[in-house]
Amino acid sequence: MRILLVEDDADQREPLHAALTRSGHVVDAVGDGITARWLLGEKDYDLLIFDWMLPGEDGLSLCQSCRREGQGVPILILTAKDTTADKVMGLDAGADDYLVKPVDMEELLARVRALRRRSPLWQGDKLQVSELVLQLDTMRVERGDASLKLSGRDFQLLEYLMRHPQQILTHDQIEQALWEWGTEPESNAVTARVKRLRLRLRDIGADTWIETVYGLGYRLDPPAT
Amino acid sequence: MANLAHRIYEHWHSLPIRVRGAVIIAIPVTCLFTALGAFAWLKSSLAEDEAWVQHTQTVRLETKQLLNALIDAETGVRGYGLTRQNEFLAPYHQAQAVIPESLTRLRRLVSDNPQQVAHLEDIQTLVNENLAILQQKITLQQELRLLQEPTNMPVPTASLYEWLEEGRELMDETREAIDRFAQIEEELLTQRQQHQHQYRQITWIVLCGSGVLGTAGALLAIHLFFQLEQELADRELALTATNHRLEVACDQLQRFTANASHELRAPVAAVMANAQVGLMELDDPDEGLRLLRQRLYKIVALSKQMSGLVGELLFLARYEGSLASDALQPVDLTDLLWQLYADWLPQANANALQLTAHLPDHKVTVSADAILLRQAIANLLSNACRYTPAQGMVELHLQQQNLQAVVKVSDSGIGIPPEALPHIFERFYRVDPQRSKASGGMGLGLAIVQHIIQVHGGQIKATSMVGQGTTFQIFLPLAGGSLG
Repeated sequence: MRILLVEDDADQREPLHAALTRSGHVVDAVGDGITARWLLGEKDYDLLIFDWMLPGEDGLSLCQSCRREGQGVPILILTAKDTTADKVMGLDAGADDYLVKPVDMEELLARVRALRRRSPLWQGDKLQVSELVLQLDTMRVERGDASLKLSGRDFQLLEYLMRHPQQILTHDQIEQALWEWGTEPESNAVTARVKRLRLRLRDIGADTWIETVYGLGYRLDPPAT
Repeated sequence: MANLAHRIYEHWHSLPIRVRGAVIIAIPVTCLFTALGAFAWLKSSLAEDEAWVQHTQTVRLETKQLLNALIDAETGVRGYGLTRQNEFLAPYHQAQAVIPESLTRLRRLVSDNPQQVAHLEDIQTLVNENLAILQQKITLQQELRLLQEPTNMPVPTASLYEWLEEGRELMDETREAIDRFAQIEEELLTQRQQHQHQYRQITWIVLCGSGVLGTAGALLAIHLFFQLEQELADRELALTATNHRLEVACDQLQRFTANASHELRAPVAAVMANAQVGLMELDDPDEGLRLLRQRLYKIVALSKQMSGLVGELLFLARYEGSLASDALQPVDLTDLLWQLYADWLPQANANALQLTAHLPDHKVTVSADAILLRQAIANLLSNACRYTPAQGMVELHLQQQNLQAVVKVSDSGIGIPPEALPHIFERFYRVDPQRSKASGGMGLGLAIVQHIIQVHGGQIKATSMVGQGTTFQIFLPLAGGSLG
């Protein structure tokens, strides 16, 4: 899932970013409302997490403008403002969920999962391509009786491949989908990540499923049974 | 006199509006009722007078009638005596019927006046005597006639004259008595007419007087009403002003609560997030320990920041109110500022700033807690250094002005926007949230400075131009013998 995280306090932004990434999400983390607004126009996100008080443009106004533009993407407001009036105002501005800081990380991740289930694009808790099953909540990949827990990075790649089975995905497409805003992947970064994933999938005998299409990119190609 | 008027005025203004409104309404109403009452009383008096005049006139008329009847009777009898014709006796018989009636009426009319009643008694006696004499005369004549009937000899002149003269004195006396009676009534009539006239005049004067009084009362009421209205308008104005002040205070409190909850929660949230993510990352076999170490460093830094914040809040709470007098010592500001200058020079140089001090060459003594005062000025210097870009200037001034010591800290820094200037001394207020955060400010520095200056009985003012710099001026009362 691609998430936009807007939080002005770097001390809070960094651990949130780390936790969400570990849960297999691609997270664009920014510190002000102006950048957030620009990114919203540039990219499609599956979830938005806004702090309320932000320099440039506050989270509430970002929330309202998203809804005005008719975007149905789930929005979670994460703020220190804790009065009932504030919560009502936040939810009325179009937020789907409202969390008061300091927030328990487990709860935040659970709420992110819950919001994903409520998304209009939700297709279930798991992805299945042939006999390969990817559990989205637990980041486990299963093939028959064998199963394997993936790291956040590996999970991101496999999820992307499994959402587009049989398609040739170019380096560019993979970079666009999996690299966070503001980070430049090194020239062989995609190759390295594919190599890592293949290594992990070897444990369940699925390493050959990812096919390299020379000169073009990669393709998830389940062997004919 | 003026004092009394002033006291009445004061008292009037201290009355509640309800009472004053009632008084204002009561003034013209009282005037109206007084006028009506006086008028009614005079009117009834006049009516009474009128009745009395009428009454007296009736008495006069009746008296005249009585007299006429008596004279008619006498004349009739006299005529009869001369002519012996019975028809001359008609007025006499008529008078015999009229006189007692007239007397009865008169008695009834003057029954309220004992003097006149006595007079009337006399008159009655005289009249009766007169009537008796007349009767006697007639009887005498008739007897005489019976005697002389055959001869038909005329009555001798001498005896006739005698007969005629008889009773004349009594008649005159009666007439006089009646005249006296009438005279008294006449006097009464004059008196009563005069009385009536007097009352008419009084009525007129009272009418004019109550008209004037009523007009004056109405004018006074209008004046008081306008005054009351003005006062109500003033009161409303004062209320609006109070309301505005309350709104400002309320806004400030709301800002403080919002900012404080943000500032207090932010480090806790960051510590918690780092600790929890650190625990998650511990599962990572290769990177776990390295990441955990980083997070622990972060947590230590955040805890220090929180501790600083708690310290500052406690400081503000501890020095609420004013300082105990034994905490105040004579402090030489010149010396204190030279020390601060020396302390901050290395820091300023490290930031590529030019720090200069313009201090007098004599002592400027204020009564203060030296440690607190030093902290206040150090906070200002710290702000100046923090918000002034490299190659900028920071200046420290001290001068004496009207029994006050004025410490001035000015910089050539980024300045404060005018809309933020009134709020900079509020706790947790931030001109630009991101910038101050990056600069390490907590939003309490200036609140602490102001607090310290206020507990010393001083004042602090800030002036600023965006892009040109900011000047803070501290005014402190001089201690006695400051030049010593």
